[in-house]
Amino acid sequence: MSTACAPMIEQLLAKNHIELARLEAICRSLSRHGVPTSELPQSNTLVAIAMLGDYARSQVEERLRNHWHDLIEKGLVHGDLTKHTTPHLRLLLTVQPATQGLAALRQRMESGASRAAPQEVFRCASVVSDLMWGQPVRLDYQIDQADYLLIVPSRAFRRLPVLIHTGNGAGHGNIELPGDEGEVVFAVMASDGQLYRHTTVFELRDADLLNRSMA
Amino acid sequence: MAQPKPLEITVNSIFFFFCHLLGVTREQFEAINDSKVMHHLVFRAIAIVLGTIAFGAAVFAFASGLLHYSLISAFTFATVSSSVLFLIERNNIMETIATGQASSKAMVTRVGVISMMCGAAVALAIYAMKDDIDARIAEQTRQTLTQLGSDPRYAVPLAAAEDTLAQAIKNTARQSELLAKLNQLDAAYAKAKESEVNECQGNTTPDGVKRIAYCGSRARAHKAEAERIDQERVAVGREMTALSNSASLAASAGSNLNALNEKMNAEAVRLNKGAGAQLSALYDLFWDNSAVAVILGFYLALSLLPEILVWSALAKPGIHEPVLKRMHQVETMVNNNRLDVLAESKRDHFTKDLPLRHVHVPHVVKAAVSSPGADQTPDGSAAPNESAAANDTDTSRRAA
Repeated sequence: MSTACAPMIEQLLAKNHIELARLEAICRSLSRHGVPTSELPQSNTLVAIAMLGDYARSQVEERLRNHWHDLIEKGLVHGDLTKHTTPHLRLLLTVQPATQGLAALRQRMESGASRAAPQEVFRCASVVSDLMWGQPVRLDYQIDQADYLLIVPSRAFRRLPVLIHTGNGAGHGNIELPGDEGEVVFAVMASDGQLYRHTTVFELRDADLLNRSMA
Repeated sequence: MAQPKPLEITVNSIFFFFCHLLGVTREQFEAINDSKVMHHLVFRAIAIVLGTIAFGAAVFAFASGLLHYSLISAFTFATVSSSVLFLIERNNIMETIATGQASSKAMVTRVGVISMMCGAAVALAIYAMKDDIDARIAEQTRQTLTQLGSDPRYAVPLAAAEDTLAQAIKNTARQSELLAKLNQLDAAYAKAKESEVNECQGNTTPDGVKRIAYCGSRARAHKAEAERIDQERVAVGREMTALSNSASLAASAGSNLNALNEKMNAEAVRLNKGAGAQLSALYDLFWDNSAVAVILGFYLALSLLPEILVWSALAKPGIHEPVLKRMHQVETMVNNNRLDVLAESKRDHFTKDLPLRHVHVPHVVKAAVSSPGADQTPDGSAAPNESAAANDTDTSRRAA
């Protein structure tokens, strides 16, 4: 191999490396939006997508165009299709079949979860009181025997809802929110298809409540 | 990466520009999503823009053509008045969109604007028939001049000045006659004196006769003739002296007469000058010449054309209720979002100075699990136990 080509190859590899990191971040984001991890591309597939770059972009756009509005509604993408990179579009094309039932699932979990979650399935604090306004809060939760978890913070937190595919296993996680007056609703879909609901109420100290109302 | 089509962006931007004139925000514009409503909004916006421009042009024509403002003053006048009208029209149209029908206030505004546009049409017609109107005004000025001639303010001094001038002219003529007569007398006097000298000295006269040197009767007759002529010369001289100021008198009388005439002319022009005289002349021409009626009618129709457009925009039905509701929702949402962003910004300002509060998963309480209904909150969660557990595990709470 000519030594003159070495910088070009290094540049290409660096570019692919950056693209791969971006794709992995997108995969994590998709996972938080309810796409099962098993449906996400494996690492070698991601490398292949990153290396393909802009190859056959028009065909990718053409195939994805009909699903684009659907993906926007699910909160998986935003903006115009043409403004996204080709690897991103190719990744979305790969996972698109797995996203088809997400909107219906999310709607079902939002509206259908009315029963309180048993502690065997989901455990989390119900009240976080005496908070200072703006104080960062890390809220731990424990989940077991459940497939999906939908976390819906109230509008005061200015955070988007998250749909997580837990994969029928025991696990724990946490969410970080700023201290404010509001609540976080957890909707859980158990492995047997039952829907449960848990609400964590955030309460500010009286003095901070006054500060907030004056803001 | 494919680039967006510039034409689409341009048309969209133009549509948004016109909708924005009616107070539609970017978010509402994107939420309208109804081509019919969009076209209605754009039509209304274009109508008030064109109506305002036409009104500005009409005010400019009226101010410069009929009121004789300078171009800069007329332009300023037109700009200010059309800006005010635009704000009024915009408000009226927005009310019409919201309520679905034009308010009485909007109708009154329209009637006022239509009246002004009619005035502007007259101004345009006057400008178009400038030569005819100028001729008519000149004729009226002449008539006024004649009338002023018989006005006592001018008739008496005018007659006196004319008499003075006539006398001065007569004196000047008499002076010329006297001068000619004096020349004749001078010549006759010289001849009589010469004949007297020839007789007394015995000189040869021009007819070749040699006179006898003797001062007899002939010589005395010549002398008496010379004395008579001399007396006549003195009389003529006296009369000429009396008439010596006739030239200055004539000049003075002439200048007086000129001044009076100029004064009368100025008054006649003043009485037939300005918008009133032009309108009067147009009125006369209107009844004298049917072509004037056609021209005036054309300009009236032309001036009312933009008004028909605005009237049509006002008469259009309001936006469909669902779209209007959606626009209001979007507006509320945007406003709430802005407030939230402000609150979030202030909240985040505190965040960096405050310690993290870690809320752990509460411990499982067997009693609670065995009888979950005993101490559940209305939403079904085991709130007291979990809350207590959360407090127990809260490791980073700051001492308040």
